[in-house]
Amino acid sequence: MGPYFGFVVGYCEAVLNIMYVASSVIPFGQMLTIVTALPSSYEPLYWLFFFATSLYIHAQRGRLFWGVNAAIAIISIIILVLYVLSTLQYVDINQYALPYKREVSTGNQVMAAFAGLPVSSWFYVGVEMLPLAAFESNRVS
Amino acid sequence: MTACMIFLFFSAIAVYFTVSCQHPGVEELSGALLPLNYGFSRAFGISYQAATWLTLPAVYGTAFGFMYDYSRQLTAMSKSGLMPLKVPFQDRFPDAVLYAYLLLGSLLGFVVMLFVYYLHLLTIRDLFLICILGGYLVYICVLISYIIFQTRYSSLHREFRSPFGISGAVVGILIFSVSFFSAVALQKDTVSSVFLAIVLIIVSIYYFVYARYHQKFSDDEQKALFSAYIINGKHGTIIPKYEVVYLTRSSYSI
Repeated sequence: MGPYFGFVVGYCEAVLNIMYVASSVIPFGQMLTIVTALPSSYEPLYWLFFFATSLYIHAQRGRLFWGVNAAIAIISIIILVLYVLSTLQYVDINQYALPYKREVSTGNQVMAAFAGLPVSSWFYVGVEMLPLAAFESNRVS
Repeated sequence: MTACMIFLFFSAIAVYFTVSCQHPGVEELSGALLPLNYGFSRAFGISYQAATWLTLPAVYGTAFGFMYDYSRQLTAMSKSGLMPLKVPFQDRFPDAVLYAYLLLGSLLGFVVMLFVYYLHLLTIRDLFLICILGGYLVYICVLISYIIFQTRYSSLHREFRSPFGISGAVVGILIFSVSFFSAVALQKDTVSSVFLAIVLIIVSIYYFVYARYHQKFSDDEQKALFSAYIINGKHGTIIPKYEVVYLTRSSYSI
């Protein structure tokens, strides 16, 4: 297939990244609708807010860009750790996780598991950019 | 980087475990917009609305991070002559290419979002499936390239060596192939796979009509080509360009 092979992969990755941003910013708008309690018709304005602020920070590059990245990461990690530690006491596998298995006894459990594979892929999406981010973040002047 | 990978691995398992094993249960949570809100509300005694604030930084950050991804991706393709747009002033302002593709990627994303919001031609779930289908193809191809480079250019300098080697890559290919099949054949509809197929057909036409006659080695590819050429020279073989593309990508993607 030659260079065409690399070309298709490049466009697939571009589709992956652009669609991911689109599929994340829409829920971002929905979340702002929840916290502001304003009509959902304002959501496109929240998208514009996201793109305006993000593009500005990306365009600055250097310390501001990586500083914002670090700040978001630290805040997110703190919230995540708080969540895991504070909700461990409510974990009950038998009551909340297993009923799903018991109720589905039609023999399609294997197919249901396979159909759910794309959801589990959220764990992987974007991880391929980690080496480049690690490389560039170590060379910020 | 390795520390980040390990943290991601364990944090993903911890969140999956704690979210799925508490109220309201896996069945309802799988379709929830904010699955962590139930736990936040219960643990901190706050409302669903207040709990939403706690998820906002992560959602903003994840979209923000992927903008970084497509700006670099599209810029790299542009430098290889694979993009249809010629960015003006790039000789005087080298960063113009990066800014132009950062803006272009954002505009495309915004247009897609308008299609979802106003025209209802796609749903958020479709966007996710399109995204993940593209990702599966990328991951499978990157893993194939990893095997090629491990076998043909085993002495090439690498910043990171996978402890799982070729067998790990084979397992990865199998997992992502099955996942690809699931995303194409086991979902409620085929909107996402049809959309991706149309995109690939359009860009393929563009490639065979225009890009194949204008593609070139970027500076990064030339550096990678030089290293691989020296190493491969011992075997007396010529390196196909698509392998060089992966060699360049491999410096940050494998």
